[in-house]
Amino acid sequence: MEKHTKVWMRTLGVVLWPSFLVASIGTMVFFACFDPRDLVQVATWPMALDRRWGYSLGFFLFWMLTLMASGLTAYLLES
Amino acid sequence: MNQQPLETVPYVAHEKKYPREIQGRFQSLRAVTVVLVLLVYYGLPWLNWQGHQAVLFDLPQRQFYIFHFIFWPQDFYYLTWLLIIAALSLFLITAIAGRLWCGYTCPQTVWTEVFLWVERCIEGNYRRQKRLDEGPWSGEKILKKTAKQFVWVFIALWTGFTFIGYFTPIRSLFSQPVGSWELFWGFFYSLATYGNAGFLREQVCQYMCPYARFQSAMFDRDTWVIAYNKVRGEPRKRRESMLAQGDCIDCQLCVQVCPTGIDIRNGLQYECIGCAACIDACDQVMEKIDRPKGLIAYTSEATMEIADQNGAEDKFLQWKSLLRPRVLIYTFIWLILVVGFLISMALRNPLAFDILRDRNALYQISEPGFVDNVYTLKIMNKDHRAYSIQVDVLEPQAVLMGLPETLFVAAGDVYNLVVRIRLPEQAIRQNPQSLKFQVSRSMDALDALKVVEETLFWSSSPTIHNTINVRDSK
Ligand code: SF4
Ligand code: SF4
Repeated sequence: MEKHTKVWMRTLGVVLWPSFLVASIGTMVFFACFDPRDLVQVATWPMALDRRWGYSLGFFLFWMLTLMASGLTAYLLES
Repeated sequence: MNQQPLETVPYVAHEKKYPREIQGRFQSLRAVTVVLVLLVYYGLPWLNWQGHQAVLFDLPQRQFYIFHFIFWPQDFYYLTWLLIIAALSLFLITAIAGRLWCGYTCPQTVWTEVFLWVERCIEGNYRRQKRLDEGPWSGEKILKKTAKQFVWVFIALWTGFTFIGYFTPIRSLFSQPVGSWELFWGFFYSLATYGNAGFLREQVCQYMCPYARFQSAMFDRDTWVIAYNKVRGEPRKRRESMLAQGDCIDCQLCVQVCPTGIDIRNGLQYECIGCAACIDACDQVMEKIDRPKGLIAYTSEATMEIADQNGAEDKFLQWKSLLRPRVLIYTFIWLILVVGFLISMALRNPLAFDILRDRNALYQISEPGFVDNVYTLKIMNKDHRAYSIQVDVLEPQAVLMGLPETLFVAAGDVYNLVVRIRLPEQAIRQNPQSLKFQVSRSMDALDALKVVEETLFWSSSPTIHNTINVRDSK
């Protein structure tokens, strides 16, 4: 049981950390080019977000994407 | 323990390592670099410079302050450039001296050392720690473990809140209520610090760090690595039997001090983070048994081979190998990038502007015979004082409308100026045609500056003047 948990956690680390790195780079590049305050104005749905929200949500969006990609890769490699 | 290459045992359960502490010249050097990194990290946000925090990445304002300079999103390529320089520096250092970065300055190493140090202060040396962990939950154990966690959590929180101090003025964190996102990111970073330095430690290096995997691509035969001199050391001897000839007395000290728990005598392994603890350990032993130091040392594959043939090491060759093509080429590119960066920083224009066209109408005809275009000029004053700004259009017949009487742009500010340019039809040669704006500051000669940017002026095709307007002009 102990053993199994550790393996599971290591996989989690290997998925979380690189996806975090890549998401950070993506966020930096993206928000250097676009100001969240401008993006909000042309959004499909009405949104009221200040920049802080914009950056943070943007980051989590990126991280979710990279996380899914890394997670799927890990899953495919292991099963 | 972990002597097989990792690929063959990808998911062995991890055992907590209890590295034995050791003193020596490399460990002293590491202590110095570790303290330096900590000082810079915790101290930098508290430093002020010309009335603002010296290093502040002000995301809500989209401005980065780095000492004298203010960077804007428009300066993003400087940041990219810096990152490339940093990456290349890492390549260069790795090619020359292997994993110096890992051993001396990587945050993972630095904070792990801090957490290890706390652990040692509270729980005692590696033997006691192990005994404590294996022993039953006595009052002493509970007390020590609680104290350790307490200090760890404190350090982690302090680290996390220093981190947000790079993005929100750090002094305001103590004087004003902290925003919810700041709180969130502070805890997030604290948690990462706690997990990486208190809990995961060398596992980060072994399983999670991309650099640890690709650094071997920058290695060659002349790269310095930490290695055991087989020729000198083997066959190992025990003190009792003085029969064998080698210098290694098989005391296992180098294995006990290794934070990743490997035996360097089995050759270079990629778990080795280059902490040089085994060098210091072995040097101590060599001193005691009165043999020359350096049975384990910074050396290179090539040096070892030559030593193998000649029976003696040639330190000169190890230094001469610094002039090999790989190093020279890396250095050359590195120099070009650094010099280029410095020059372009020195020539950086503190006055800049972007021209945005009116999104709604390509052009407007508000008076017969004239065509209007509307632009927004984003005028940026990247300097440390306010300036009065003058805006001109470099087109003799154009009329510039919408200028305020005086236009002051504060230090580090952006001014959004909406202007209307009116051109008589006979001045239109092309559709669209180029139009130049000039923005200049301060009339006194000393710090006068002019910047010219080009944009497009749209009209209907010059022959059909009376076709009105494409989209919703007012
Ligand atoms: S292996 Fe990676 S995380 Fe570990 S010390 Fe080296 S660079 Fe840092
Ligand atoms: S082998 Fe030596 S240098 Fe490498 S990690 Fe272990 S103690 Fe440090």
